[in-house]
Amino acid sequence: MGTASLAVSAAHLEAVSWSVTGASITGATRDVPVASIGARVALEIQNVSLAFGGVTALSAVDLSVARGEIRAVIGPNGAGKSSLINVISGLYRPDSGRVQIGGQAFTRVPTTRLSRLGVTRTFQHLALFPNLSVLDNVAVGVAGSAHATFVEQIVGLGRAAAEAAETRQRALETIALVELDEVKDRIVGTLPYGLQKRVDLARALVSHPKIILLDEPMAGMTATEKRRMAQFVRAARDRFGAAVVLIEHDIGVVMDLSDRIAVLDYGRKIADGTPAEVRADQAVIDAYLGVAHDDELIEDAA
Amino acid sequence: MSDFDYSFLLEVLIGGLLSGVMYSLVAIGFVLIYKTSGVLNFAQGAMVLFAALTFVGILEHGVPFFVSLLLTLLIMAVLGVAVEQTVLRPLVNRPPITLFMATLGLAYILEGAAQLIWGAQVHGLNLGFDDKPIALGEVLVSSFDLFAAAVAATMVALLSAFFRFTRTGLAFRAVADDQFAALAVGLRLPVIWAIVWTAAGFVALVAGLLWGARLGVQFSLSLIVLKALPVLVLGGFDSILGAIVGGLLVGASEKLAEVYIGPLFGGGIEIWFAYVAALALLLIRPSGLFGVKLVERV
Repeated sequence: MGTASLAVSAAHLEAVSWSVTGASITGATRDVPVASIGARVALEIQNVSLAFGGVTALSAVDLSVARGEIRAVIGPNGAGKSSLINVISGLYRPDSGRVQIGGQAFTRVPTTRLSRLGVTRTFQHLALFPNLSVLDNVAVGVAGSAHATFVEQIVGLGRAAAEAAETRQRALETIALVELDEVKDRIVGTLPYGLQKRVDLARALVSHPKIILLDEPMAGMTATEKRRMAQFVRAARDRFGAAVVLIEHDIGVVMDLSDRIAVLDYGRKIADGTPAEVRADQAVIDAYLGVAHDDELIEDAA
Repeated sequence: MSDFDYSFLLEVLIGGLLSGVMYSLVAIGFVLIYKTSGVLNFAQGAMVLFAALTFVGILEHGVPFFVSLLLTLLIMAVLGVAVEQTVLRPLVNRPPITLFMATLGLAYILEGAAQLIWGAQVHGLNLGFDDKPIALGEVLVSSFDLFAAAVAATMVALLSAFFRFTRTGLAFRAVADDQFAALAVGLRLPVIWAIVWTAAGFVALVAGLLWGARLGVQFSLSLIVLKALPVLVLGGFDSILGAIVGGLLVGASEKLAEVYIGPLFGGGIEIWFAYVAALALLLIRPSGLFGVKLVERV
Protein backbone atom coordinates (compact mmCIF):
# COMPACT_ATOMS: atom_id res chain seq x y z
CA MET A 1 0.00 0.00 0.00
CA GLY A 2 2.84 2.33 0.91
CA THR A 3 4.51 1.94 -2.44
CA ALA A 4 1.25 2.29 -4.28
CA SER A 5 0.36 5.57 -2.61
CA LEU A 6 3.82 6.92 -3.30
CA ALA A 7 3.48 6.08 -6.95
CA VAL A 8 0.14 7.78 -7.09
CA SER A 9 1.41 10.89 -5.40
CA ALA A 10 4.34 10.99 -7.80
CA ALA A 11 2.01 10.84 -10.77
CA HIS A 12 -0.17 13.43 -9.14
CA LEU A 13 2.71 15.78 -8.51
CA GLU A 14 3.84 15.61 -12.11
CA ALA A 15 0.46 16.77 -13.12
CA VAL A 16 0.32 19.50 -10.55
CA SER A 17 1.73 22.68 -11.88
CA TRP A 18 3.06 25.74 -10.24
CA SER A 19 0.96 27.90 -12.48
CA VAL A 20 -1.97 29.50 -10.76
CA THR A 21 -3.63 30.34 -14.03
CA GLY A 22 -4.61 26.73 -14.57
CA ALA A 23 -3.10 26.74 -18.05
CA SER A 24 -1.22 23.72 -16.92
CA ILE A 25 -2.55 21.08 -19.26
CA THR A 26 -0.01 18.36 -19.82
CA GLY A 27 1.18 17.90 -23.37
CA ALA A 28 -0.78 14.74 -23.86
CA THR A 29 -4.08 16.22 -22.82
CA ARG A 30 -6.43 17.37 -25.47
CA ASP A 31 -9.03 19.80 -24.51
CA VAL A 32 -11.72 19.85 -27.12
CA PRO A 33 -15.20 21.15 -26.45
CA VAL A 34 -17.70 18.66 -27.74
CA ALA A 35 -21.02 19.99 -28.88
CA SER A 36 -22.69 16.63 -29.44
CA ILE A 37 -23.14 15.82 -25.77
CA GLY A 38 -26.67 16.13 -24.54
CA ALA A 39 -27.32 18.90 -22.08
CA ARG A 40 -28.20 16.46 -19.32
CA VAL A 41 -25.05 14.40 -19.52
CA ALA A 42 -22.57 15.46 -16.85
CA LEU A 43 -19.97 12.77 -17.35
CA GLU A 44 -19.27 10.46 -20.23
CA ILE A 45 -16.62 7.79 -20.40
CA GLN A 46 -15.98 6.51 -23.88
CA ASN A 47 -14.24 3.29 -24.73
CA VAL A 48 -11.73 3.56 -21.90
CA SER A 49 -9.10 0.84 -21.57
CA LEU A 50 -6.38 0.60 -18.99
CA ALA A 51 -3.80 -2.09 -18.31
CA PHE A 52 -1.09 -2.40 -15.70
CA GLY A 53 1.59 -4.42 -17.43
CA GLY A 54 -0.20 -7.59 -18.50
CA VAL A 55 -3.17 -7.10 -16.19
CA THR A 56 -6.20 -5.54 -17.81
CA ALA A 57 -7.97 -3.26 -15.36
CA LEU A 58 -10.49 -1.75 -17.78
CA SER A 59 -11.42 -2.95 -21.21
CA ALA A 60 -13.35 -0.66 -23.57
CA VAL A 61 -15.66 0.62 -20.86
CA ASP A 62 -18.41 3.13 -21.70
CA LEU A 63 -20.35 4.91 -19.02
CA SER A 64 -22.54 7.96 -19.12
CA VAL A 65 -23.90 9.74 -16.08
CA ALA A 66 -26.67 12.32 -16.26
CA ARG A 67 -27.09 15.31 -14.03
CA GLY A 68 -28.96 14.47 -10.88
CA GLU A 69 -28.45 10.79 -11.38
CA ILE A 70 -27.04 8.33 -8.87
CA ARG A 71 -25.08 5.86 -10.94
CA ALA A 72 -23.70 2.80 -9.24
CA VAL A 73 -20.76 0.82 -10.52
CA ILE A 74 -20.66 -2.64 -9.03
CA GLY A 75 -18.58 -5.73 -9.54
CA PRO A 76 -16.47 -8.22 -7.63
CA ASN A 77 -13.15 -7.23 -6.09
CA GLY A 78 -10.63 -6.42 -8.81
CA ALA A 79 -13.32 -5.79 -11.41
CA GLY A 80 -11.90 -2.32 -12.12
CA LYS A 81 -14.28 -0.09 -10.19
CA SER A 82 -11.66 1.93 -8.36
CA SER A 83 -9.55 2.11 -11.52
CA LEU A 84 -12.52 3.67 -13.25
CA ILE A 85 -12.82 6.35 -10.56
CA ASN A 86 -9.10 6.96 -10.70
CA VAL A 87 -9.36 7.49 -14.45
CA ILE A 88 -12.20 9.97 -13.97
CA SER A 89 -10.26 11.86 -11.32
CA GLY A 90 -7.08 11.94 -13.37
CA LEU A 91 -4.93 9.74 -11.14
CA TYR A 92 -4.63 7.17 -13.93
CA ARG A 93 -4.15 7.91 -17.56
CA PRO A 94 -6.14 5.47 -19.69
CA ASP A 95 -4.33 3.63 -22.53
CA SER A 96 -7.14 4.55 -24.86
CA GLY A 97 -10.53 6.17 -24.85
CA ARG A 98 -11.55 9.45 -23.36
CA VAL A 99 -13.43 11.10 -20.56
CA GLN A 100 -15.85 13.96 -21.13
CA ILE A 101 -16.64 16.20 -18.21
CA GLY A 102 -19.12 19.01 -18.61
CA GLY A 103 -18.69 19.08 -22.39
CA GLN A 104 -14.91 18.92 -22.42
CA ALA A 105 -13.06 15.82 -23.56
CA PHE A 106 -9.82 14.61 -22.04
CA THR A 107 -7.50 11.69 -22.62
CA ARG A 108 -6.05 12.36 -19.24
CA VAL A 109 -8.17 14.39 -16.86
CA PRO A 110 -5.99 17.22 -15.53
CA THR A 111 -5.96 16.92 -11.74
CA THR A 112 -5.31 20.62 -11.28
CA ARG A 113 -8.56 21.51 -12.99
CA LEU A 114 -10.79 18.98 -11.29
CA SER A 115 -12.19 21.39 -8.75
CA ARG A 116 -12.93 23.93 -11.47
CA LEU A 117 -14.66 21.22 -13.47
CA GLY A 118 -16.79 20.57 -10.41
CA VAL A 119 -15.51 17.06 -9.71
CA THR A 120 -14.96 15.86 -6.15
CA ARG A 121 -14.50 12.46 -4.60
CA THR A 122 -14.34 10.49 -1.40
CA PHE A 123 -11.88 7.75 -0.71
CA GLN A 124 -12.20 4.05 -0.05
CA HIS A 125 -9.41 4.36 2.47
CA LEU A 126 -9.99 7.58 4.31
CA ALA A 127 -7.71 10.45 3.33
CA LEU A 128 -8.71 12.83 6.09
CA PHE A 129 -6.45 14.99 8.24
CA PRO A 130 -6.67 13.17 11.57
CA ASN A 131 -5.22 15.99 13.68
CA LEU A 132 -7.44 18.77 12.33
CA SER A 133 -10.98 19.55 13.43
CA VAL A 134 -14.04 18.48 11.47
CA LEU A 135 -14.59 22.08 10.43
CA ASP A 136 -11.02 22.45 9.17
CA ASN A 137 -11.16 19.14 7.32
CA VAL A 138 -14.28 20.24 5.51
CA ALA A 139 -12.93 23.73 4.85
CA VAL A 140 -9.90 22.24 3.10
CA GLY A 141 -12.36 21.12 0.43
CA VAL A 142 -12.81 24.72 -0.71
CA ALA A 143 -9.25 25.86 -0.05
CA GLY A 144 -8.39 25.16 -3.66
CA SER A 145 -11.13 27.29 -5.15
CA ALA A 146 -10.63 30.50 -3.19
CA HIS A 147 -9.14 33.45 -5.00
CA ALA A 148 -7.73 35.91 -2.48
CA THR A 149 -4.02 36.37 -2.97
CA PHE A 150 -1.51 35.37 -0.38
CA VAL A 151 -0.84 38.97 0.63
CA GLU A 152 -4.54 39.75 0.97
CA GLN A 153 -4.83 36.78 3.30
CA ILE A 154 -1.98 37.98 5.47
CA VAL A 155 -3.38 41.46 5.88
CA GLY A 156 -6.86 40.03 6.11
CA LEU A 157 -8.20 42.66 3.77
CA GLY A 158 -10.41 42.84 0.73
CA ARG A 159 -11.56 39.56 -0.66
CA ALA A 160 -9.71 37.57 1.99
CA ALA A 161 -11.99 38.49 4.87
CA ALA A 162 -15.17 37.94 2.87
CA GLU A 163 -13.81 34.70 1.52
CA ALA A 164 -12.83 33.41 4.92
CA ALA A 165 -16.35 34.11 6.16
CA GLU A 166 -17.87 32.47 3.11
CA THR A 167 -15.65 29.40 3.44
CA ARG A 168 -16.72 29.01 7.03
CA GLN A 169 -20.36 29.51 6.15
CA ARG A 170 -20.22 26.89 3.42
CA ALA A 171 -18.36 24.46 5.62
CA LEU A 172 -20.98 24.88 8.34
CA GLU A 173 -23.85 24.38 5.88
CA THR A 174 -22.26 21.22 4.54
CA ILE A 175 -21.62 19.92 8.03
CA ALA A 176 -25.28 20.51 8.77
CA LEU A 177 -26.24 18.63 5.61
CA VAL A 178 -24.53 15.48 6.85
CA GLU A 179 -25.67 16.16 10.42
CA LEU A 180 -22.27 16.56 12.02
CA ASP A 181 -23.06 19.87 13.79
CA GLU A 182 -22.48 18.45 17.21
CA VAL A 183 -18.94 17.32 16.49
CA LYS A 184 -17.83 20.16 14.23
CA ASP A 185 -15.00 21.23 16.57
CA ARG A 186 -13.82 17.74 17.41
CA ILE A 187 -10.49 16.46 16.14
CA VAL A 188 -11.30 14.04 13.35
CA GLY A 189 -8.93 11.34 14.55
CA THR A 190 -11.00 11.01 17.72
CA LEU A 191 -14.28 10.32 15.90
CA PRO A 192 -15.67 6.86 15.24
CA TYR A 193 -15.14 5.47 11.75
CA GLY A 194 -18.72 5.99 10.58
CA LEU A 195 -18.57 9.67 11.40
CA GLN A 196 -15.19 10.00 9.70
CA LYS A 197 -16.76 8.66 6.53
CA ARG A 198 -19.36 11.44 6.81
CA VAL A 199 -16.60 14.02 7.23
CA ASP A 200 -15.06 12.69 4.02
CA LEU A 201 -18.43 13.10 2.28
CA ALA A 202 -18.86 16.62 3.67
CA ARG A 203 -15.42 17.60 2.40
CA ALA A 204 -16.38 16.37 -1.05
CA LEU A 205 -19.65 18.33 -0.96
CA VAL A 206 -18.43 21.66 0.37
CA SER A 207 -17.31 22.85 -3.06
CA HIS A 208 -20.89 22.36 -4.38
CA PRO A 209 -19.74 19.81 -6.96
CA LYS A 210 -21.38 18.86 -10.24
CA ILE A 211 -19.90 15.39 -10.22
CA ILE A 212 -19.37 13.40 -7.03
CA LEU A 213 -17.30 10.23 -7.06
CA LEU A 214 -17.96 8.02 -4.04
CA ASP A 215 -15.55 5.13 -3.59
CA GLU A 216 -17.21 2.71 -1.17
CA PRO A 217 -18.70 5.37 1.11
CA MET A 218 -20.41 2.72 3.23
CA ALA A 219 -17.65 0.17 3.57
CA GLY A 220 -17.36 -1.13 7.07
CA MET A 221 -20.50 0.58 8.32
CA THR A 222 -23.35 -0.87 10.31
CA ALA A 223 -26.76 -1.22 8.65
CA THR A 224 -28.05 1.88 10.44
CA GLU A 225 -25.04 3.94 9.43
CA LYS A 226 -25.46 2.77 5.84
CA ARG A 227 -29.09 3.90 5.77
CA ARG A 228 -28.13 7.34 7.04
CA MET A 229 -25.27 7.59 4.59
CA ALA A 230 -27.68 6.72 1.77
CA GLN A 231 -29.91 9.58 2.93
CA PHE A 232 -27.00 11.99 2.81
CA VAL A 233 -26.00 10.87 -0.67
CA ARG A 234 -29.57 11.51 -1.87
CA ALA A 235 -29.66 14.84 -0.07
CA ALA A 236 -26.41 15.87 -1.73
CA ARG A 237 -27.72 14.87 -5.16
CA ASP A 238 -30.94 16.84 -4.61
CA ARG A 239 -29.16 19.83 -3.17
CA PHE A 240 -26.56 20.29 -5.90
CA GLY A 241 -28.25 18.48 -8.78
CA ALA A 242 -25.00 16.59 -9.04
CA ALA A 243 -24.18 13.44 -10.93
CA VAL A 244 -23.13 10.79 -8.43
CA VAL A 245 -20.89 7.86 -9.30
CA LEU A 246 -21.20 5.32 -6.53
CA ILE A 247 -19.00 2.31 -5.94
CA GLU A 248 -20.46 0.08 -3.31
CA HIS A 249 -20.40 -3.59 -2.39
CA ASP A 250 -23.65 -3.70 -0.47
CA ILE A 251 -26.09 -4.78 -3.17
CA GLY A 252 -29.10 -3.92 -1.04
CA VAL A 253 -27.97 -0.31 -0.69
CA VAL A 254 -27.05 -0.10 -4.37
CA MET A 255 -30.40 -1.44 -5.60
CA ASP A 256 -32.22 0.93 -3.31
CA LEU A 257 -30.19 4.07 -3.94
CA SER A 258 -29.21 3.97 -7.61
CA ASP A 259 -31.03 5.19 -10.69
CA ARG A 260 -28.88 3.10 -12.99
CA ILE A 261 -26.29 0.44 -12.35
CA ALA A 262 -23.29 -0.60 -14.43
CA VAL A 263 -21.75 -3.99 -13.70
CA LEU A 264 -18.06 -4.61 -14.25
CA ASP A 265 -16.38 -7.98 -14.31
CA TYR A 266 -12.68 -8.41 -15.09
CA GLY A 267 -12.54 -4.86 -16.40
CA ARG A 268 -15.40 -5.37 -18.83
CA LYS A 269 -18.84 -3.86 -18.56
CA ILE A 270 -21.23 -6.80 -18.67
CA ALA A 271 -24.50 -5.02 -17.93
CA ASP A 272 -25.95 -1.56 -17.60
CA GLY A 273 -29.45 -0.48 -16.70
CA THR A 274 -31.99 0.16 -13.98
CA PRO A 275 -31.77 -1.88 -10.79
CA ALA A 276 -34.61 -4.09 -11.98
CA GLU A 277 -32.98 -4.71 -15.35
CA VAL A 278 -29.62 -5.52 -13.79
CA ARG A 279 -31.20 -7.82 -11.27
CA ALA A 280 -32.80 -9.78 -14.09
CA ASP A 281 -29.77 -9.79 -16.38
CA GLN A 282 -28.53 -13.33 -16.99
CA ALA A 283 -24.91 -12.26 -17.52
CA VAL A 284 -24.94 -10.51 -14.16
CA ILE A 285 -26.48 -13.46 -12.40
CA ASP A 286 -23.89 -15.76 -13.95
CA ALA A 287 -20.85 -13.58 -13.50
CA TYR A 288 -21.69 -11.80 -10.33
CA LEU A 289 -24.63 -12.86 -8.29
CA GLY A 290 -24.85 -16.50 -9.28
CA VAL A 291 -21.24 -17.54 -9.42
CA ALA A 292 -19.28 -16.93 -6.24
CA HIS A 293 -16.41 -14.52 -6.64
CA ASP A 294 -16.73 -13.24 -3.17
CA ASP A 295 -18.60 -14.77 -0.28
CA GLU A 296 -19.46 -11.48 1.29
CA LEU A 297 -21.29 -10.30 -1.80
CA ILE A 298 -23.48 -13.36 -1.89
CA GLU A 299 -24.46 -12.82 1.70
CA ASP A 300 -25.26 -9.19 1.04
CA ALA A 301 -27.32 -10.06 -2.00
CA ALA A 302 -29.32 -12.65 -0.13
CA MET B 1 25.95 28.21 51.03
CA SER B 2 24.02 30.30 53.52
CA ASP B 3 24.79 33.44 51.58
CA PHE B 4 23.71 32.05 48.21
CA ASP B 5 23.05 34.94 45.86
CA TYR B 6 19.54 34.39 44.55
CA SER B 7 19.36 37.59 42.58
CA PHE B 8 22.50 36.54 40.74
CA LEU B 9 20.91 33.16 40.00
CA LEU B 10 17.83 34.96 38.69
CA GLU B 11 19.98 37.23 36.57
CA VAL B 12 21.78 34.29 35.00
CA LEU B 13 18.49 32.50 34.47
CA ILE B 14 16.81 35.45 32.77
CA GLY B 15 19.87 36.16 30.68
CA GLY B 16 19.89 32.52 29.65
CA LEU B 17 16.19 32.43 28.81
CA LEU B 18 16.49 35.54 26.69
CA SER B 19 19.48 34.23 24.77
CA GLY B 20 17.45 31.04 24.35
CA VAL B 21 14.86 33.07 22.48
CA MET B 22 17.50 33.74 19.87
CA TYR B 23 18.07 29.99 19.47
CA SER B 24 14.33 29.48 19.14
CA LEU B 25 14.22 31.96 16.28
CA VAL B 26 16.62 29.86 14.26
CA ALA B 27 14.92 26.63 15.26
CA ILE B 28 11.47 27.84 14.15
CA GLY B 29 12.78 28.20 10.62
CA PHE B 30 13.73 24.52 10.71
CA VAL B 31 10.39 23.47 12.13
CA LEU B 32 8.36 25.28 9.46
CA ILE B 33 10.07 23.39 6.68
CA TYR B 34 10.36 20.09 8.47
CA LYS B 35 6.68 20.06 9.38
CA THR B 36 5.38 20.67 5.89
CA SER B 37 7.89 18.83 3.76
CA GLY B 38 9.73 16.45 6.05
CA VAL B 39 13.05 17.99 5.04
CA LEU B 40 15.64 18.86 7.63
CA ASN B 41 16.82 22.07 6.04
CA PHE B 42 20.48 22.29 6.84
CA ALA B 43 20.63 25.52 4.83
CA GLN B 44 18.58 27.41 7.44
CA GLY B 45 21.78 28.85 8.92
CA ALA B 46 23.00 29.86 5.49
CA MET B 47 19.64 31.52 4.91
CA VAL B 48 20.13 33.50 8.11
CA LEU B 49 23.53 34.64 6.84
CA PHE B 50 22.20 35.34 3.37
CA ALA B 51 19.26 37.37 4.69
CA ALA B 52 21.37 39.40 7.11
CA LEU B 53 24.12 40.09 4.56
CA THR B 54 21.59 41.07 1.93
CA PHE B 55 19.84 43.41 4.32
CA VAL B 56 23.07 45.05 5.46
CA GLY B 57 24.34 45.25 1.89
CA ILE B 58 21.22 47.04 0.75
CA LEU B 59 21.24 49.26 3.83
CA GLU B 60 24.83 50.27 3.20
CA HIS B 61 23.84 51.53 -0.22
CA GLY B 62 21.93 54.23 1.56
CA VAL B 63 18.49 52.65 1.26
CA PRO B 64 16.17 53.47 4.20
CA PHE B 65 15.73 50.82 6.88
CA PHE B 66 12.21 49.69 6.08
CA VAL B 67 12.73 49.72 2.35
CA SER B 68 15.77 47.50 2.86
CA LEU B 69 13.68 45.22 5.02
CA LEU B 70 10.98 44.94 2.35
CA LEU B 71 13.52 44.40 -0.42
CA THR B 72 15.26 41.67 1.56
CA LEU B 73 11.92 40.05 2.28
CA LEU B 74 11.17 40.09 -1.42
CA ILE B 75 14.55 38.54 -2.20
CA MET B 76 13.94 35.82 0.40
CA ALA B 77 10.58 35.11 -1.25
CA VAL B 78 12.23 34.79 -4.65
CA LEU B 79 14.81 32.52 -3.06
CA GLY B 80 12.04 30.38 -1.54
CA VAL B 81 10.35 29.93 -4.90
CA ALA B 82 13.67 29.24 -6.60
CA VAL B 83 14.58 26.57 -4.06
CA GLU B 84 11.22 24.89 -4.57
CA GLN B 85 11.62 24.89 -8.34
CA THR B 86 15.26 23.86 -8.62
CA VAL B 87 15.91 21.73 -5.55
CA LEU B 88 12.72 20.31 -4.10
CA ARG B 89 10.64 19.58 -7.18
CA PRO B 90 13.23 17.45 -8.99
CA LEU B 91 13.77 15.47 -5.80
CA VAL B 92 10.13 14.72 -5.04
CA ASN B 93 9.66 11.28 -3.48
CA ARG B 94 13.38 10.78 -2.89
CA PRO B 95 14.42 9.53 0.53
CA PRO B 96 14.82 12.18 3.25
CA ILE B 97 18.60 11.72 3.29
CA THR B 98 18.77 12.83 -0.36
CA LEU B 99 16.86 15.99 0.42
CA PHE B 100 19.00 16.58 3.46
CA MET B 101 22.14 16.33 1.33
CA ALA B 102 20.59 18.72 -1.17
CA THR B 103 20.03 21.31 1.55
CA LEU B 104 23.62 20.78 2.68
CA GLY B 105 24.72 21.68 -0.83
CA LEU B 106 22.30 24.57 -0.84
CA ALA B 107 23.90 25.85 2.35
CA TYR B 108 27.28 26.09 0.63
CA ILE B 109 25.79 27.79 -2.41
CA LEU B 110 23.98 30.37 -0.27
CA GLU B 111 26.99 31.06 1.91
CA GLY B 112 29.17 31.45 -1.15
CA ALA B 113 26.67 33.55 -3.05
CA ALA B 114 26.03 35.87 -0.12
CA GLN B 115 29.72 36.57 0.34
CA LEU B 116 30.36 36.79 -3.38
CA ILE B 117 27.73 39.46 -3.73
CA TRP B 118 28.19 41.40 -0.52
CA GLY B 119 31.79 40.66 0.44
CA ALA B 120 33.19 38.60 3.27
CA GLN B 121 34.11 41.36 5.70
CA VAL B 122 32.26 41.82 8.95
CA HIS B 123 29.44 44.35 8.71
CA GLY B 124 28.21 46.15 11.75
CA LEU B 125 24.47 46.32 12.16
CA ASN B 126 22.83 48.83 14.42
CA LEU B 127 19.14 48.28 14.97
CA GLY B 128 18.90 51.73 16.47
CA PHE B 129 19.24 51.58 20.21
CA ASP B 130 21.86 51.16 22.88
CA ASP B 131 22.14 47.92 24.70
CA LYS B 132 21.83 49.38 28.17
CA PRO B 133 21.07 46.98 30.99
CA ILE B 134 17.72 47.59 32.62
CA ALA B 135 17.37 47.08 36.34
CA LEU B 136 14.33 45.03 37.33
CA GLY B 137 14.57 45.14 41.08
CA GLU B 138 18.03 43.81 41.84
CA VAL B 139 18.29 41.98 38.54
CA LEU B 140 20.00 43.52 35.54
CA VAL B 141 18.55 42.54 32.15
CA SER B 142 19.94 43.34 28.74
CA SER B 143 17.55 45.68 26.94
CA PHE B 144 18.61 44.25 23.62
CA ASP B 145 17.69 40.77 24.79
CA LEU B 146 14.30 42.06 25.86
CA PHE B 147 13.83 43.67 22.48
CA ALA B 148 14.82 40.43 20.74
CA ALA B 149 12.37 38.49 22.88
CA ALA B 150 9.59 40.94 22.01
CA VAL B 151 10.35 40.64 18.30
CA ALA B 152 10.40 36.87 18.54
CA ALA B 153 7.13 36.81 20.44
CA THR B 154 5.49 39.08 17.87
CA MET B 155 6.73 36.89 15.06
CA VAL B 156 5.48 33.71 16.69
CA ALA B 157 2.10 35.37 17.29
CA LEU B 158 1.92 36.44 13.65
CA LEU B 159 2.86 32.98 12.43
CA SER B 160 0.30 31.34 14.71
CA ALA B 161 -2.44 33.72 13.57
CA PHE B 162 -1.48 33.03 9.98
CA PHE B 163 -1.69 29.26 10.49
CA ARG B 164 -4.89 29.56 12.42
CA PHE B 165 -6.94 32.01 10.38
CA THR B 166 -5.92 31.99 6.73
CA ARG B 167 -6.77 29.57 3.99
CA THR B 168 -3.10 29.04 3.18
CA GLY B 169 -2.48 28.46 6.86
CA LEU B 170 -5.14 25.77 6.84
CA ALA B 171 -3.51 24.22 3.79
CA PHE B 172 -0.19 24.24 5.69
CA ARG B 173 -1.69 22.44 8.61
CA ALA B 174 -3.33 19.95 6.29
CA VAL B 175 -0.07 19.24 4.48
CA ALA B 176 1.75 18.93 7.79
CA ASP B 177 -0.85 16.47 9.00
CA ASP B 178 -0.92 14.17 5.98
CA GLN B 179 0.83 14.90 2.71
CA PHE B 180 -0.90 12.17 0.77
CA ALA B 181 -4.34 13.26 1.91
CA ALA B 182 -3.42 16.83 1.01
CA LEU B 183 -2.57 15.75 -2.51
CA ALA B 184 -5.72 13.70 -2.68
CA VAL B 185 -7.94 16.70 -1.99
CA GLY B 186 -6.10 18.76 -4.58
CA LEU B 187 -3.89 21.01 -2.48
CA ARG B 188 -0.93 22.18 -4.48
CA LEU B 189 2.09 20.96 -2.63
CA PRO B 190 4.66 22.86 -4.71
CA VAL B 191 2.90 26.15 -4.05
CA ILE B 192 2.71 25.39 -0.36
CA TRP B 193 6.38 24.43 -0.23
CA ALA B 194 7.36 27.69 -1.92
CA ILE B 195 5.33 29.65 0.62
CA VAL B 196 6.82 27.69 3.49
CA TRP B 197 10.34 28.35 2.26
CA THR B 198 9.46 32.00 1.97
CA ALA B 199 8.16 32.00 5.54
CA ALA B 200 11.35 30.26 6.64
CA GLY B 201 13.27 32.97 4.76
CA PHE B 202 11.32 35.59 6.69
CA VAL B 203 12.17 33.89 9.97
CA ALA B 204 15.79 33.68 8.84
CA LEU B 205 15.78 37.41 8.15
CA VAL B 206 14.48 38.25 11.62
CA ALA B 207 16.98 35.88 13.23
CA GLY B 208 19.77 37.27 11.04
CA LEU B 209 19.03 40.85 12.04
CA LEU B 210 18.96 40.09 15.74
CA TRP B 211 22.01 37.83 15.70
CA GLY B 212 23.77 40.19 13.30
CA ALA B 213 23.17 43.14 15.60
CA ARG B 214 24.78 41.19 18.40
CA LEU B 215 27.67 39.40 16.66
CA GLY B 216 28.16 41.54 13.58
CA VAL B 217 26.94 40.32 10.21
CA GLN B 218 29.55 37.81 9.15
CA PHE B 219 30.17 34.27 8.09
CA SER B 220 29.85 32.78 11.56
CA LEU B 221 26.10 33.58 11.47
CA SER B 222 25.63 30.49 9.37
CA LEU B 223 27.09 28.42 12.20
CA ILE B 224 24.17 29.18 14.51
CA VAL B 225 22.51 26.33 12.68
CA LEU B 226 24.61 24.12 14.95
CA LYS B 227 23.09 25.76 18.02
CA ALA B 228 19.61 25.13 16.66
CA LEU B 229 20.17 21.39 16.48
CA PRO B 230 20.11 20.67 20.24
CA VAL B 231 17.09 22.98 20.48
CA LEU B 232 15.31 20.86 17.89
CA VAL B 233 16.34 17.62 19.54
CA LEU B 234 14.94 18.89 22.83
CA GLY B 235 11.75 20.37 21.45
CA GLY B 236 11.00 17.97 18.63
CA PHE B 237 11.50 18.75 14.96
CA ASP B 238 7.86 19.32 14.16
CA SER B 239 6.60 21.60 16.90
CA ILE B 240 6.87 25.38 16.93
CA LEU B 241 6.01 25.37 20.61
CA GLY B 242 8.74 22.79 21.07
CA ALA B 243 11.24 25.03 19.30
CA ILE B 244 10.40 27.87 21.68
CA VAL B 245 10.56 25.77 24.82
CA GLY B 246 13.65 23.96 23.55
CA GLY B 247 15.37 27.26 22.88
CA LEU B 248 14.54 28.57 26.34
CA LEU B 249 15.73 25.34 27.96
CA VAL B 250 18.99 25.33 26.06
CA GLY B 251 19.62 29.01 26.74
CA ALA B 252 18.86 28.80 30.45
CA SER B 253 20.57 25.49 31.14
CA GLU B 254 23.79 26.33 29.34
CA LYS B 255 24.15 29.65 31.14
CA LEU B 256 23.36 28.11 34.52
CA ALA B 257 25.73 25.25 33.82
CA GLU B 258 28.47 27.62 32.79
CA VAL B 259 28.15 29.66 35.94
CA TYR B 260 27.56 26.94 38.51
CA ILE B 261 29.15 23.80 37.10
CA GLY B 262 31.61 25.38 34.68
CA PRO B 263 34.32 26.17 37.24
CA LEU B 264 34.58 22.46 38.09
CA PHE B 265 35.65 21.77 34.49
CA GLY B 266 37.73 24.87 34.12
CA GLY B 267 34.99 26.82 32.35
CA GLY B 268 33.81 26.93 28.73
CA ILE B 269 31.16 24.24 29.10
CA GLU B 270 28.54 26.60 27.65
CA ILE B 271 29.80 25.59 24.23
CA TRP B 272 29.05 21.91 24.54
CA PHE B 273 26.53 21.66 27.37
CA ALA B 274 23.48 21.90 25.10
CA TYR B 275 24.64 18.93 23.03
CA VAL B 276 25.17 16.77 26.07
CA ALA B 277 21.73 17.74 27.38
CA ALA B 278 20.20 16.90 23.99
CA LEU B 279 21.99 13.57 23.93
CA ALA B 280 20.73 12.75 27.40
CA LEU B 281 17.19 13.60 26.41
CA LEU B 282 17.45 11.45 23.29
CA LEU B 283 18.06 8.46 25.51
CA ILE B 284 14.81 9.11 27.36
CA ARG B 285 12.49 10.67 24.75
CA PRO B 286 13.72 10.07 21.20
CA SER B 287 11.01 12.29 19.70
CA GLY B 288 11.82 15.30 21.87
CA LEU B 289 9.57 16.95 24.41
CA PHE B 290 6.86 17.96 21.95
CA GLY B 291 7.58 15.94 18.85
CA VAL B 292 5.10 13.52 17.34
CA LYS B 293 5.89 9.96 18.27
CA LEU B 294 6.82 8.04 15.20
CA VAL B 295 4.99 4.76 14.91
CA GLU B 296 6.28 2.58 12.15
CA ARG B 297 4.81 -0.74 11.21
CA VAL B 298 7.22 -3.07 9.57
